[in-house]
Amino acid sequence: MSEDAVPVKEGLFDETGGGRLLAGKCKACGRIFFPKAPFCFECLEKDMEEVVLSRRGKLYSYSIGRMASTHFPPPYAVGLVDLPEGVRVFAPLMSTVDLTYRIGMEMEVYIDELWKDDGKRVMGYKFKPVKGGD
Amino acid sequence: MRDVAVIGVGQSEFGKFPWKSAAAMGAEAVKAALGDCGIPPRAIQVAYCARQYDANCTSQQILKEVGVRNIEMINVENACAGGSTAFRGVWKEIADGRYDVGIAMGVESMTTSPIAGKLISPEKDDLEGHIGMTMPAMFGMVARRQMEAGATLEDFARVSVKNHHNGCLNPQAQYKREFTVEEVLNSRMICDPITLLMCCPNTDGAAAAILCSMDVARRYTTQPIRVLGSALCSADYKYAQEDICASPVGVKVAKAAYEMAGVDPKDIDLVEMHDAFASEEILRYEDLLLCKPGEGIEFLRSGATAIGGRVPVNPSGGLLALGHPLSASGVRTVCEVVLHLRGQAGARQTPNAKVGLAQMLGGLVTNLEHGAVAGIHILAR
Repeated sequence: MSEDAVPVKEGLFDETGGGRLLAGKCKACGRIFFPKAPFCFECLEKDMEEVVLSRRGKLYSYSIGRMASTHFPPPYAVGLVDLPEGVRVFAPLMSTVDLTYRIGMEMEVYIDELWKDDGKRVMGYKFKPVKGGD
Repeated sequence: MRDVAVIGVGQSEFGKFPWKSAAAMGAEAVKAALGDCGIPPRAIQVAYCARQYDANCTSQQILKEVGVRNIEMINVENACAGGSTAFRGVWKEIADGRYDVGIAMGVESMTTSPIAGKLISPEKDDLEGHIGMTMPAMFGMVARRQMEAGATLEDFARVSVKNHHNGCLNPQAQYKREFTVEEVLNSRMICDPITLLMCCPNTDGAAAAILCSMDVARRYTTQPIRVLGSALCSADYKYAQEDICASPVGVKVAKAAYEMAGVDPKDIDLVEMHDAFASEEILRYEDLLLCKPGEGIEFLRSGATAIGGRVPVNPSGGLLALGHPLSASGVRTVCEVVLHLRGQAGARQTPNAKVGLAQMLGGLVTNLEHGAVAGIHILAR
């Protein structure tokens, strides 16, 4: 990440191979949490290990915001993406005027600037449709 | 556990009144509730008040306006279910025999709150909130899933048309204006596919209900309305909500309330519920077991939930037309049910209503099911 950039939150993602999400897996029951949980919400186990999530998943649902949110001017797209590890990730979606979303379409994670804060680029994860994918 | 009755209900004017204090609106509702049953203010032994924004000893601020002091007063916040929480608090105090008379209040000044005219802003450490998760975005995504299951934009609009029609019959509604399906669909887009007229408005207002033991009730009214069931529960972690159209906590609370009340969902004559978004009302038909799972859309289309239908839902106009001062709504829904059970609901009256249900669901908390708390009360004459 360049010097003028800060992650929206530490330890959630890195830029390897176009961007990867880092989740927490319970060493006792195997449940995976993204964003990472401080302990297993299911069985209360404290011992959690970091696992890398698949970059691709299916769009579970989406919405296009037409009213400003805390950081995003309208229009902006957000969605829920189901990853093969059994994790549903909420994330901003790539936003362009001619991009249309469809439930079930194949999506891929990437790292992008979310907004600017005090001159710094705040970086986070987003999803975009996989070209030619379904 | 003792039987508890509601003997007095009151509502302030609902609308946009940035010049009115929460205490003034609360006092308006409390005076109406006192006047409704004729009980002297100093007969009240315990008070609960719900308020979400800028709360600061709200019970004390309100009740000093009607001469009530030196009693136990409890102030609560529980998102949109705050009012349900306050009502349940008073019910528990009386059911447990600790007090004989209490008042439940809910008040909100939305136009002077930090979220006036904006979406509800996220907490500092609420990552999802900062990256675009808002109430309408959530319900937009839920609505997209509903459409996968066969719902249409017209269905969502129809809920808004129905509740705005009901609002026209309620002198206390914030909006008394009929809309057509086309007008709802063509209103400004908020979060695709949710349009402005599918969202509840910003509302200032208050509601109050006076509860007491059956012994006391008989002294003040010949029409005590009994609280048959009361249930309140907070949500599970988010992963428990595999289908975002379902509300596991909503279903759990509904079952608990029906069991406690000893009534079947088909015995319910009317429902007042959380229709913050028009599309949401359809889902709640299923949570409340008013119809079979997956049949909410058909239930709406059949007309069953309109005034004159099998079980009118939100005859008051609901949050969509009557308005939604967040913490007041949980008390206000109870007030509306009470009016129908007494036969005092005027042009919107549910004929021969014997049993009614008041529901609230609210709160968006990262890592938890959306709808972080649900509260239900079942009342009967």
